[in-house]
Amino acid sequence: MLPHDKNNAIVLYGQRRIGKTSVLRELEARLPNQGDYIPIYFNLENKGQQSLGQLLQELARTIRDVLQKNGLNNDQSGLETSPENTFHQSWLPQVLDQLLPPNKSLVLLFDEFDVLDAPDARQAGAAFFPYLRDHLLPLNPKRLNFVFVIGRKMDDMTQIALSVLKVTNAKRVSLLNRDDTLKLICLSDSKNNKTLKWTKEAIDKVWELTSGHPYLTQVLCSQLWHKLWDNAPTSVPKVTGKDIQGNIIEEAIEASESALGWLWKGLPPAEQVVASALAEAGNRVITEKQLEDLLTQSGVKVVIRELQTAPGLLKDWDLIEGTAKEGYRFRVELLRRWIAKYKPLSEVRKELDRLEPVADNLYKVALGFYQARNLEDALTYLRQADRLNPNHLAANQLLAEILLAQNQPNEAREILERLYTYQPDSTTRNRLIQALLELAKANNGEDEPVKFYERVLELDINHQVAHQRFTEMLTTQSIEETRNLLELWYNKGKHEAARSWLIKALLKQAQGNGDEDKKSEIYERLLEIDPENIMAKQWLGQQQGKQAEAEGNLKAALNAYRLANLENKAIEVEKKIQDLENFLNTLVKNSEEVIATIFIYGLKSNQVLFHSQLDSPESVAKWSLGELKEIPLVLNKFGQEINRGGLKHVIFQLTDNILSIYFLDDFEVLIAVGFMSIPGQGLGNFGPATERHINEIKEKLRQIFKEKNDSV
Amino acid sequence: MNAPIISYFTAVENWLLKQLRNLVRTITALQQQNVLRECREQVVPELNRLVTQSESGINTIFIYDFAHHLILCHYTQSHQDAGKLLEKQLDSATLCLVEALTCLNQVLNHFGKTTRLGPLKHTVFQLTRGILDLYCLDGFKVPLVLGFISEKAEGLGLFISNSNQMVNAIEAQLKEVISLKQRNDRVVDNPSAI
Repeated sequence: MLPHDKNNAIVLYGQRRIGKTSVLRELEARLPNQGDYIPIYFNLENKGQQSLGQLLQELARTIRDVLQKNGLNNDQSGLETSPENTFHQSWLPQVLDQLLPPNKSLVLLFDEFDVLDAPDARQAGAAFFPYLRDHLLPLNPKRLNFVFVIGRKMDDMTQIALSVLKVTNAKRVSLLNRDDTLKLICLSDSKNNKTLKWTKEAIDKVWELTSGHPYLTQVLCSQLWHKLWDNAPTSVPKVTGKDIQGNIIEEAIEASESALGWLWKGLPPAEQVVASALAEAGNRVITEKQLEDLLTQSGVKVVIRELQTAPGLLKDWDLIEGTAKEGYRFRVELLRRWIAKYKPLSEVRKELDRLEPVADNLYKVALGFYQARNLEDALTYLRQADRLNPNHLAANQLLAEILLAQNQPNEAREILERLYTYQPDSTTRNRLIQALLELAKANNGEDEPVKFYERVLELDINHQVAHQRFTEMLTTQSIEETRNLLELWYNKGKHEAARSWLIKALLKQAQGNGDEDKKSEIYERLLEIDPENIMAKQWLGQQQGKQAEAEGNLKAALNAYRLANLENKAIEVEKKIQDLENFLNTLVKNSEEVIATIFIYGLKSNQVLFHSQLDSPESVAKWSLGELKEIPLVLNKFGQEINRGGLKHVIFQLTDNILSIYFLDDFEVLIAVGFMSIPGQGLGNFGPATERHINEIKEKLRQIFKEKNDSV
Repeated sequence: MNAPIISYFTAVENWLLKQLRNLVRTITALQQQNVLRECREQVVPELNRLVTQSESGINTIFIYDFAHHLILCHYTQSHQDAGKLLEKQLDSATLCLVEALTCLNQVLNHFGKTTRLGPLKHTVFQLTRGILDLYCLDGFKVPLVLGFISEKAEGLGLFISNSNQMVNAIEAQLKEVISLKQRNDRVVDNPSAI
């Protein structure tokens, strides 16, 4: 552009903090080396309130300072009076024609050019833009060039600003590509600055988080540098992938807060709401439909046009990528995390009130009427505001308030329920409770009021009126009916209030029930919804213990009693176990090196119930004999068929040991007694030893197991 | 030819192959079983000799094909009335035996896994009026069980000792008879081999 005879201006635009100023500063540093250019950097920030004359005087001062630095002293004055005329008519032409060498040209670098187009700087802009267009741009296109930097899209500039910019080239300043990002990251790993060693994994991780956002890349790398140099290392620290997680990311996000906050402020309300919704949804692609659902879930009643077009604008600003069809996602993960952390949708959604200025004004009028106690007119304006912007939070709150005052609880409830889902504050909750109580009063049917009281208790578990109503229900209705009603309520949403009342009902139902099975069923349900309920635990523990005792599984019974804190029962059972195991130990000891182990086997539970401790292998408690209980049945049948009678016992001859099993049919519980020989023992000694002991063991087992009725 | 017809022929072909495989499997099993059944003539006199040669306390010896649930051959002392009765009863008790052996198999699988006390040599069932002693013979293509039934409930030690001594002799005799039979069959099928 610079050597061009006519086209002597360019606009650089892009989101805030993307590096536009850095580009200008780079031009300022490089241009003198690349040709006969003298760049003049001029920042318009904070100059929006200045008059055109002041602005031109300041520009002239800056040009003079730069020229002096270049050895070109300009002593001319004349800008003290009417600079609007003298600057372009005499001052600048003199600089160009007389002061500058013939081959040199000036390049004016205007930073923050769009501040002059801000609403509070319209006056300065209104004068400066036409001045630029009419007097400066055409002054000397060959020797006077312009670079303007703006922090918004050109389309968003006012007509008057556009009239200047439309004659110029425009170039977007966007995210860095991967190679440039790599160069930026590795500035600390270069020849002149070897203060960090970067691994590929770490570089990839930075790229993954910043996607080439120059500012965020810089902040993250700076945080890393400080962290790694904090402990004064003796050699150059190496950056690995593990260094870039958790705290360091959080610290980089915090460090970026003010800069990103400035970027955020530059976004219009609808774009802020959509960006916040997308950020909260995580690092994934969100389709248009999913985005609409997210907005609806957070209280957006209608996704109005501004919200629908917001993704397109966010994409123009390089904040998100994708299409409406394929879905959108954030381009820069660190930015997404910053928005998710500092700009949650619950807060940002208040911006929805500003979406439609007319609706906001209507709300303000309505508020005036409301304060003057003119509810009818207030309602009229609020309904109009609601039609224009159904998402106006304050308008909805006021509308519900007036509807309640006018005894229209149904519509008020609808509005308040919706408001409460995304704004569960005490004011909304109290209004909602008020609406529900009104509705309960108005609905006298059998079940109807209960539903409203249920909802009240969900909102306030200790609400007195609803509490009283439910207590009445527990005493007046049958406990079964009450439980059914409460089960329905609880199953709807597992709400704490429903749970609390269902626990009360179940306890009452269990206490008034004589049937043990029914009682167990009630307590099981109770334990499902209240796993720590002591009453249920004790009852079920006692039942399990009794059942285990009946099956001869005293260890399981002991366990059940202990879990249920039934200490007396546990001590009783423990004593029985010790007594039996001591007895088995004595038998093994007296067998004089013939029997190694004696164990009692539960055929129903398929496990060793008790066993001697002396010389027994450690695994004996875990021995499993599978379907052993079938053996006596089929062998009895077989013995009868071949006329040899029923089965007495089985001997398994193993490589070194003999295992003998006696099936006892004297007890209600199916049990077997097993004897394992000492290795190398023959059947001649082992067989008679087991025969001797089996009757003693049976006798002992009678103290523990219930005998069959016919045996008694 | 269009795709559905090709698919139809492939399905028919697969079905035929499956049927053929099943048929071959059945024929092989039957052949093995037949060999053992045909050996009966030679094995039974040996069982007879073993039972009668001593005062062993053994009343019945039987060989059971565990894979096909069949008593292949058995011998019961004929000079005792109870023995004759047992011979008839053994045939009808086959079903119970199948259940008993299947059950025993499961028990021992579990037990072997949990105790790691080594493989089972034999299992003795002490009945009210007799003893049943079972050995698994694993040197044959068909899994065989060799069973001994005593005359009475008493004398467990002597009975087990006697049956223990006979197991090896019966196993050797069975192997010899089977190999002789298979050799003869090959000669009949292929006379030039003489």
